[in-house]
Amino acid sequence: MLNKPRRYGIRLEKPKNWYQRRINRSTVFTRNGLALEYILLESHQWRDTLTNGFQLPPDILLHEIPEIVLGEYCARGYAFNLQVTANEIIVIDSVPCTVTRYTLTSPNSLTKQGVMYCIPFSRFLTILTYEAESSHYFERSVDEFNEVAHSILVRRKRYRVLPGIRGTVE
Amino acid sequence: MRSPQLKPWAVLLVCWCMVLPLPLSGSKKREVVIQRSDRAAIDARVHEAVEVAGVLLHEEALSEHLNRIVARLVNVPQGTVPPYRILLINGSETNAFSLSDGTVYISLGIFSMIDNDAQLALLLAHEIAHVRLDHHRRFRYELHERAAGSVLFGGDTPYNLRVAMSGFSRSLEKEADSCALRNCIESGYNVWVAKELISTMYSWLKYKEKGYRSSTATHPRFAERYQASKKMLEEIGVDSTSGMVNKQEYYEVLQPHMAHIVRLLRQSNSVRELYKMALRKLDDDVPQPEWYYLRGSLLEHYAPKDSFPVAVYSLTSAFRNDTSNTRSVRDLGWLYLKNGNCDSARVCLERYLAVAPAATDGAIVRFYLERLGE
Repeated sequence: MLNKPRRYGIRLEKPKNWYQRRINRSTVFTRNGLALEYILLESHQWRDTLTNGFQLPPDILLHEIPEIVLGEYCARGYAFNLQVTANEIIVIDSVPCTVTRYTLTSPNSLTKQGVMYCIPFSRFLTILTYEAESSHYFERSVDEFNEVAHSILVRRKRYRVLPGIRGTVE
Repeated sequence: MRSPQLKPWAVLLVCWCMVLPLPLSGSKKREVVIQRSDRAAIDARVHEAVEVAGVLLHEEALSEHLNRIVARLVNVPQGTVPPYRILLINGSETNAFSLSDGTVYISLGIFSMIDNDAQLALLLAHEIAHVRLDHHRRFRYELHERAAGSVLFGGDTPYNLRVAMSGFSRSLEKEADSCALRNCIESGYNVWVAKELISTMYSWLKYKEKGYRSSTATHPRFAERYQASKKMLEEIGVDSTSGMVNKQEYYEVLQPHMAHIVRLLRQSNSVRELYKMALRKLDDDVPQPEWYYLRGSLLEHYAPKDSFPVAVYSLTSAFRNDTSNTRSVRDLGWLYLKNGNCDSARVCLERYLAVAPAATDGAIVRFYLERLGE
């Protein structure tokens, strides 16, 4: 169990037999190496200045978050040819959050697939990402990632109710 | 008689001089002439890289329009194919480059800086001038291939900006500028309007590269190029009002691609310039519904509180001018939602679903409508 509610606002089950490492404000899990697959749990402060000069606005709509986050990845050169294949709002532990599926080419020319969960909290935005090489590794480990995603418990006191979803959170 | 003995250091010196010719005193950098067969091989490598990356864009209307401009520039008889091939690259990079076989690659991102056909003609004439004047003989291909790579694989990262340099020397760039201006004058384009492209590019790169001018390090400074072109036009005595600008047709051809260009630029760290561009284009005398939408959408996305009235006006105007643009109604809904005006938001989002029931973001809109109903 990864229990860091102050840092991430959530609790989740760690994937079994994956290496875990902390990098700055994020925690990363991998089994076959970061270039091939990883699960990344990170938090971004609201009003963080993005590479394009704008800020991550705290009054953003929920479904707009992934576009800004993925745009930032592209702008920083972590991803090329990015295509969002699905973007939807789902409810996890009775709070709404977004799930985005995408494909991209990594800087070392690997075609990858990814799934990204974004959960807004009062002081920060938590992002859980699973990204893996698409031809083999993605399918191999996606079930384990789904188990991790389904185990998420949200600290509801810290959840940020964004415009348009008032009344949803108990 | 005693035979002359060869000193080892003298032998070494002679060998070294044969391998590396000593630079003459006061001479400039040694110029390497690239053989025709090597040029063809390098061109083939660039073409192959473009094919493999799958970034070529096949847009008939836009390609036809570009070919029409090229035909006018090179003055070929009607119905004849010009000896230049214009290919579009689906990328956000604001770049264009030519190869020695007469192929000119243009990245879609550069259309965000071009306002009319006269400017487009100047850009094409510049690239064609490199081919016409055989600049590729004196070309640093290594840099050029890297520049092509940066165009193909997303050109806005700091790394790619660093390598996205032209392979021509500054004097060759100046020569191409002057040749392009003359070509545009002969073809009947308004060169005074066209040269404004240089100043737009200057302000763009100044912002993007934060003063390092890495991607144009091999070019003359933009201010210098602007002044040189102005001086040249004054010397020739070209009338600033004569010549074709052709803004209307340019916009009509570009209109279907604007949403795509905006998406590319949004993903590539160019939002602030994109926003400025939207404002600039809206102030033009030919405002297009797409530009209203663009401005409204950007404001809705990045400054919903500060620019609420302008954003509402822009999105409403966009829908009024083009009722098939359902995205403007949806974005108006998002804008009202962000500003806490739930009733107006509901009206807009319901209208959006009524007009576009099979929209890909229909589920998200329905999610918000359910919450608004509660």
